[in-house]
Amino acid sequence: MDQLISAFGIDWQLILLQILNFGLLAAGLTYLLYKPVLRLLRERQERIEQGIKDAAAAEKMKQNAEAEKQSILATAHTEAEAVAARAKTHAEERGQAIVGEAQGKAEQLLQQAAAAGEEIKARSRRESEAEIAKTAILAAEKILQERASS
Amino acid sequence: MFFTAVAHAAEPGISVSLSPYVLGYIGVVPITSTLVTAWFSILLLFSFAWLLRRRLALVPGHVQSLVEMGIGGVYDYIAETLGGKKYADRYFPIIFTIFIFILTFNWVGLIPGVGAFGSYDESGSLIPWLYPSATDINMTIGLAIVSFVTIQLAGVIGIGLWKYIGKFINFSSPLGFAIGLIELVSELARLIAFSFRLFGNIFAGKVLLLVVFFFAPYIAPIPIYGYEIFVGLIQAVVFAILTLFFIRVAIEEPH
Repeated sequence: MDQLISAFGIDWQLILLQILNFGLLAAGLTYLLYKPVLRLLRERQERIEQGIKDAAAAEKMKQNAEAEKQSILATAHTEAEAVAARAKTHAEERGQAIVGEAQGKAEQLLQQAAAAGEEIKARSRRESEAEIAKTAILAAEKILQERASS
Repeated sequence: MFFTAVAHAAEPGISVSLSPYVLGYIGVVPITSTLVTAWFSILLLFSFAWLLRRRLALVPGHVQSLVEMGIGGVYDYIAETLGGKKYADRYFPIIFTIFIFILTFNWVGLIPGVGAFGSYDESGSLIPWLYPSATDINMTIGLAIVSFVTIQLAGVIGIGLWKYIGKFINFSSPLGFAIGLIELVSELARLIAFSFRLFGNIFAGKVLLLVVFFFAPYIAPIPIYGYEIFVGLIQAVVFAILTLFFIRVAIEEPH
């Protein structure tokens, strides 16, 4: 056994030193390399997972927004039709009212015009009658003057 | 290749030593060229990790992508194998460090010039400053102990001390007792299997390269180099994967 140990140069101090070397290397690499790299890999994986979740949520939100848009558009369309219908009805009613009012005013004006015409006509007659009477008086005076002078 | 030739010019023939080259002592602790190579590999890994950490960004560059793919892929594989991220958080640093450490010092050991630069001892033999770490049985035994202790602790933490001991010491029946003993022996045999598998493969690769360099120093070593790069990777994978699967076996409830 001693010969074997001597031939291979087995030395417990060297074995211990190599174990210490390994321990030092394992501790150093864990601190310098393994932990930072594994942390980075986890962070990246979390980010990717979060990104996928966000993308799914965004897609869902987009679909919801699209549905809401369609709903709003449909409501707006219906409301617009109702408003247009109401406006049309109102306009027709208003138009009829205006036309009726105009017709009333026109009739009133016609009546006023007819009354004024009658008034003018009566006044003309009265003036004519006065003129005729005046003319007749003058003619009678003239005749009387001529008879008196002759 | 040039430096290798110069280094070996000082020695007649091929010189292979099973024991590591001792460069000097700090107190009573021998400092070997394989230990220095391990420190150099650790320094390389720390430098790379530090540089990468400074430039970590949510949108990764090419290097960061590769590192993320490696670390993230291995982490997920460990979580899948052990049955949860709780286990992956606990054992990933050890398993991945085993892999990356073995891979780095295996490949550093293949850099041309490693094993060629050094100083000469009194007998005129070259003592290289750097030498493949896994050709030192102390290094592979050290890693095997790390792996072994991790597996046992995983078992104790995973299913509890008494249940885990019950896997090996079972008095319920003679057959159960025998199986428990066999389990215990195979558990201890893992220490030897782990350490000698890595040591044998890398040591054999180094010897093979030396032989090829000695007999056919031009062109011929190139495919061997390619093969040894592959062996370095495979051995790192095997060591880490076996540790992972033995942890899985250890945390399983006994039948």
